[in-house]
Amino acid sequence: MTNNNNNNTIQTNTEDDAEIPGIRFVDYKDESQLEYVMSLVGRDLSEPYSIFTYRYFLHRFPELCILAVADDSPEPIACVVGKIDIEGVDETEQEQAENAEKTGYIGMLAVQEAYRRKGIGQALVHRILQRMKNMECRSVTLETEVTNTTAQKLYQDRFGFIREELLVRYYLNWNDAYRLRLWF
Amino acid sequence: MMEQLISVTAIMNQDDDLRHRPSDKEKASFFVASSLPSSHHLFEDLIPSAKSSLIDVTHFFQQCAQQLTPEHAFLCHEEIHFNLYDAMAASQLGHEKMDCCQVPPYRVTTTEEPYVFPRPPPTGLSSAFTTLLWDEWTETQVLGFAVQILVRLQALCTGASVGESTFTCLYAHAPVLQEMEERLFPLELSLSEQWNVTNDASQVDTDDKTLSYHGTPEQFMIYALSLSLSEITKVFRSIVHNADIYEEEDYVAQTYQIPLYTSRHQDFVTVFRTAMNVFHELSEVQAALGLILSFLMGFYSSMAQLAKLSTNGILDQVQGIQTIVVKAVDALDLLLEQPSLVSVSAPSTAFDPYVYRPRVGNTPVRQVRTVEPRQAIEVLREITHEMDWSVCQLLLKANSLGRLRRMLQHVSRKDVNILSRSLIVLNLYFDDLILGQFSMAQWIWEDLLEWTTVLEDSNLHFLQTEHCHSFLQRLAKPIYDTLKLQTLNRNRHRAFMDVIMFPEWVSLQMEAQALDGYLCSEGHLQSSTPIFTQYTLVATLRLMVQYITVGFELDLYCSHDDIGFAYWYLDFLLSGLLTHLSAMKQNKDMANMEQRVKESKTLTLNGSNKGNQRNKKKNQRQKNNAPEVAPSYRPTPQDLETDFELSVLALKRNLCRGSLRFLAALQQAGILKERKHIFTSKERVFQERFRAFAGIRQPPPLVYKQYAQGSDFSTVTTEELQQSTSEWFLSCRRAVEHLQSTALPSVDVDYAPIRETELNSLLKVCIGNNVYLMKLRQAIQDPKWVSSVRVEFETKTHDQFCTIKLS
Repeated sequence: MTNNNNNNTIQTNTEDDAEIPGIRFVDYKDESQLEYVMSLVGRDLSEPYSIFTYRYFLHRFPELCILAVADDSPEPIACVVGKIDIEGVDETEQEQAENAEKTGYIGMLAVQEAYRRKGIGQALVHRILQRMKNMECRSVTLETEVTNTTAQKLYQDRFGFIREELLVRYYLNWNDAYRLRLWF
Repeated sequence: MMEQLISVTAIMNQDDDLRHRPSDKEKASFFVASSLPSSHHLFEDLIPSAKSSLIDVTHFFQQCAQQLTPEHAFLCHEEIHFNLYDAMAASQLGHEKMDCCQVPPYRVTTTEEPYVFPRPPPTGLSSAFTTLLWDEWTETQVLGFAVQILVRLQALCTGASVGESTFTCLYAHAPVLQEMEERLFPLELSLSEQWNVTNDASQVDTDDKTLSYHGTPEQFMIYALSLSLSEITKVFRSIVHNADIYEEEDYVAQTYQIPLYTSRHQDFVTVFRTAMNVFHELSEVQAALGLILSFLMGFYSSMAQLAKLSTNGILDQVQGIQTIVVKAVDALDLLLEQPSLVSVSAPSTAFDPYVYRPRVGNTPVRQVRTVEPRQAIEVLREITHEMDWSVCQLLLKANSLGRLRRMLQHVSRKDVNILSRSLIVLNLYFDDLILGQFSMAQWIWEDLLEWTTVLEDSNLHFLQTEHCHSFLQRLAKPIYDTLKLQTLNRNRHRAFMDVIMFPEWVSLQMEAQALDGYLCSEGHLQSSTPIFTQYTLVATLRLMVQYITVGFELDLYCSHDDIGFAYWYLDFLLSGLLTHLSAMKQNKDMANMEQRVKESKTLTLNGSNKGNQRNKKKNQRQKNNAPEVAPSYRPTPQDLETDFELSVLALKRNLCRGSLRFLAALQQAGILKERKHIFTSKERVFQERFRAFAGIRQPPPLVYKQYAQGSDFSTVTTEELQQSTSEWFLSCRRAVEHLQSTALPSVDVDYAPIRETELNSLLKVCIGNNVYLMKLRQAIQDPKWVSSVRVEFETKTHDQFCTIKLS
């Protein structure tokens, strides 16, 4: 782990949802946007997701899918997709479990290559975390490949996620993953 | 979607009868066959040959769909299973990522890559899909085949499923083995052999017995090598299943409904022996083949024997197995020197990584990974060697709980293969004896006595009370769990401790307190020496220390705050452990000394009284003047090991303190800045990091406020803090050097609480940290350097104690 003293943003986060010139953040609307999400995510993630996986996230938690639209692009250029689990409760009983602990999960985050290093990924994560917090989640988890230092820098350094567990040979390419968790 | 489905099913059937009007049932079976990998009988009938071409049958499906009526609304009948997963698979046929069979999309017309069609397992040497080489094997090809067998074996032992390893060898499939066996051992020959054995007393089973076969030496070698892979797979799976400590990263239990073969040769070693006598010349190729067979036989025999040890003569059994293991390792060492390894290759039709794809189902599968032969052999060598030093040595040398604990900790730190870890678990406790040799209750009692006050004989009777006896029995399972913990994957330790062990030891602490209270009230114990309470507290502290140190090994502490939390808490726990163990040992040493003085007085008195009565007064004077000095005491090996352990704990505690001060010095210098996050806080992170300790009563869980106070060096000047940090690392360095020169040579290396390599690593950490601290002291006056310096927490030198690098 390296701590670069030059980068002040490691030490602090902005309080507000920062606006990025030329970029609008919109909520997922309906099935008509599904192919954009699949295209963004499928391009970069090594693990394949079926259409049913996307639908599982988007139909159950449409409010936890946020798209970033650029002024100079007709299609979304980035997205984040998440869900909420109620820990210790079977999925079929989740709706009835009023006092159970809610945990957010960030399943997918993708930014088109041409739009990277502009803070769009950070802005999307900030927004989804805020929503999960508003929805009374106690914590948020995600998995990231051990070699994905960019993602780790984003989640760990900028948002304070900690490494909770090492998942050996988690991915289909035999690579390991860290489970990260943020405690609100 | 429909077009993709149609294009794939078109591949399956080139029948011109497509043009005729099929019945409803025929239409249904046509659809289902294309997407149901599990219906292998249908699938095999429709498997295309390698020269199949694509036929557009869109119109056919359109016709079928137009014929649907409300009465017959479905293309697939209910009798034919077509579930949701099949529907998902059908919609993803041809998808570049989701299609596990990697059939390219219909619309791709040009590609340089050949299509890789899914294939069923072979049904014999000649099946519908391919014909396996049998009559044309050459010696060199056999060697290439043998090397690939080792590659598959290595894949199996390092976490690949049988579908990704064993069954990628087409000759290891049951129907092929059966056919090879039928050809090599025709029924009439087998019967004839049996007749001769039954009627000829000289042909009874001996160690030199070999088989007669009907074929070429190369054919027998192929059969023997394939059968060895199958048999070793069976034994390996049996061992890992029975031990039941495997996780998904170690081992995949599924066989994908592909059966393992049961050979007619029950004594499999005879097959090996026959194979080793097949070739009579000593060419390079044959020498290499002989080494491979020698390894396979040794590997198989040692695994199988270690899995079924008996308590009777166990040490002799293990010594015998150790000899076999060493020979197997030697065979691989010699094999690695063979030049013929470089150029051999097996026929391409002998191995196929896609053979099990239809059985896997409809989800994307892992990439089948095989390594280069040399690497596979090196890994197999390591796995085999582990059976020697981690399994055999454990069984031969562990003769106390403390020694077993230390040996297992070393095994755990070395990340030993699932095979050896499973063999350790199978032999850890069987036939009501620990390691098949010792009484668990007796070992626990001796472990307790190793650290507590020696009791006088007159007080020992209280140990026979029901309460003490019950509590010792109660301790057996939790202590067994602390040993078994070391056989789990390191990345699983924390979860196991959190869920199972901490709650268990919390209960034990309460029970131990109650027992000590009772013994104290009965006058058997002094209140200042609650032996059972101390014992359970020490066990709990050890677990808590391991919980944090494993976190370092897994690189879970990723920020300087996190690292600071961990070292601070670890310092607290190690200090507690050191305090209690030192106090217990001190009490024990004092009691020992008193006992020796008492015995010495008694001896002197007896010696004096042997004189006659006339010397009575003289004797009285001698008795009164007898010096109260204990006779010189020669420490036992266990005493030396105990002292070594205490020294290592002190060393690690001091390293924690040095690291904490280094972090504080960097913060004071403005190099490490305080981090603030919008959604969380340091206090929250601290609380959740050590949530596993929240339920433990002793030691009481610490809170962030205590950390903030304990790590606050704001009242210390920069110079003093840096000086203090330097002194801590210097004292650690001296401690390491003392341990290397004095403590380590005085104990058996297998019983040492720390090995030489780890001591060397810690020495480098001490030196490295001091070097960077010196750099900080020299450069801190330069604001430019302070603003541009990068801090790196490097754990490659030692995985628990980092070197804090400044660049």
